[in-house]
Amino acid sequence: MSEVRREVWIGHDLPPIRRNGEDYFLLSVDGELYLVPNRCPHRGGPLKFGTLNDQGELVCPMHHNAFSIQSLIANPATIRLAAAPPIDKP
Amino acid sequence: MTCKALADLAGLLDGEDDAPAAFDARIDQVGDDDSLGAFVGHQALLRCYQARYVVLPAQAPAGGVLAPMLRHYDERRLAALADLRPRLESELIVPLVRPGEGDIAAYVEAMLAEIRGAPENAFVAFLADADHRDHHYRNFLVQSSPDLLAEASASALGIIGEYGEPQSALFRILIDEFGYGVPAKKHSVLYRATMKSFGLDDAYNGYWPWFDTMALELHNAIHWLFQNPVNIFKQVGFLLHAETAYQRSTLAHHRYLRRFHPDADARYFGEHAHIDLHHTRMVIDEAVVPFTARFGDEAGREIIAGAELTKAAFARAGDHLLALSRAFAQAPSASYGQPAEPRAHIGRPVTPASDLRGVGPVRVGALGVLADAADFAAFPPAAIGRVAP
Repeated sequence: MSEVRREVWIGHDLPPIRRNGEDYFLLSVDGELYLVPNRCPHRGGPLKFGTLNDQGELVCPMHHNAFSIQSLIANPATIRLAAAPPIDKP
Repeated sequence: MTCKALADLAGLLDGEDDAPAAFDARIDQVGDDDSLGAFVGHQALLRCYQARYVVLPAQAPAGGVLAPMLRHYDERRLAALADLRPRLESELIVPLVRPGEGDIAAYVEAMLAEIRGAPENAFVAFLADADHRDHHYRNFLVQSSPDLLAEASASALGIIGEYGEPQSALFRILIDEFGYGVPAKKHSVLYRATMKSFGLDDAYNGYWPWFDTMALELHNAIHWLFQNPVNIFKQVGFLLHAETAYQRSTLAHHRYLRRFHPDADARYFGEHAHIDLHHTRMVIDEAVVPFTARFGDEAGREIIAGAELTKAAFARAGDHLLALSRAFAQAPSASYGQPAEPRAHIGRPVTPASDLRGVGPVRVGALGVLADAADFAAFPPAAIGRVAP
């Protein structure tokens, strides 16, 4: 069953994001930001260069395996970025 | 190709019996036995292709690696092999190529249905009932090793250049063949593990004296496809057939190994049974379709020609191996077993059409020995035996 279509943006063109030795890519879903492991669970393909299919799933460029956005967010290795702290006004 | 040209080449390539297997480029002599012509020609063509690839021994030779490398990749030798290659190809491979005919979309649909509906793998069925299946399987592994111990080296030549989106699809397939960057996952490394689990030497080219004519023909037909960029559409045809047929055959081998050789390393076959499902789709959707959309029916016919050459080459090699295995199983004087070092005592080659009168015991690949050489006369024509020392 396809999930409800969400507003998704993938950080294709951002510089590499490394954290604790792992590569991540930036994923925006309905305005929330996530760092998602940049490694397809099938064969390690670079998910950040994937595309969204008609069902709104992220398609790996290596073998075209498709992953729901919800599964990427729910991955325990995915990091949800907290909202930026308010900037103190001088 | 004249016997003199092959003899001259044999002289040029001689003298490496103490070299690491990877640098052992010897070929046999035709001599007075005309029935050896095709076999020695294919050996020479194998050497032409091998000379273009980087191969290194697993361990450093006692005297260092550079001296044998300089000898193996000597410019004069490389030039001689490059000069002979087109002549050998025109005699041995080009006659196997047929023009492609028909509509590519219909061809792909029919090919998928034919392969998916194909009967049980005949060699695997033979093995299931064979008394000495472990020896037959070793010989299968040895005869397949000329290509698989450096798997995808030929097709790598088809990636270089610049030809649009299909190039990226073919490159992604190549990435898988080379283990997507993980040495232990390279298909050649997985194949090496299967050979070792059957007690075989896993050195590249280590079993060259036992390669028979049809094993060499299959290797050389595949490598011929990738020597000239004019064959790019035929190369796609090769991948179309090979990736699809390999799904089925490797699955059959994987199941066979699990059932009859549970301690054997079957990862090579399991890997192909899985990843080639993806590769078939990638070849069709990302190479066949866009190429034919861009270049029309003539590209489609070339793809069909490549697929048909591949199909025929695999069929000839498969039929031969099955006939050879049956012949050995039925030979009255056959005894199974193999020496530890095939390059140590090579013995002169013979075919079933050779004059076998007065000839001593004949070794047949990794299967074993025929105590009575006359038994060899009943073997398939492309079989190669070695007069045991």
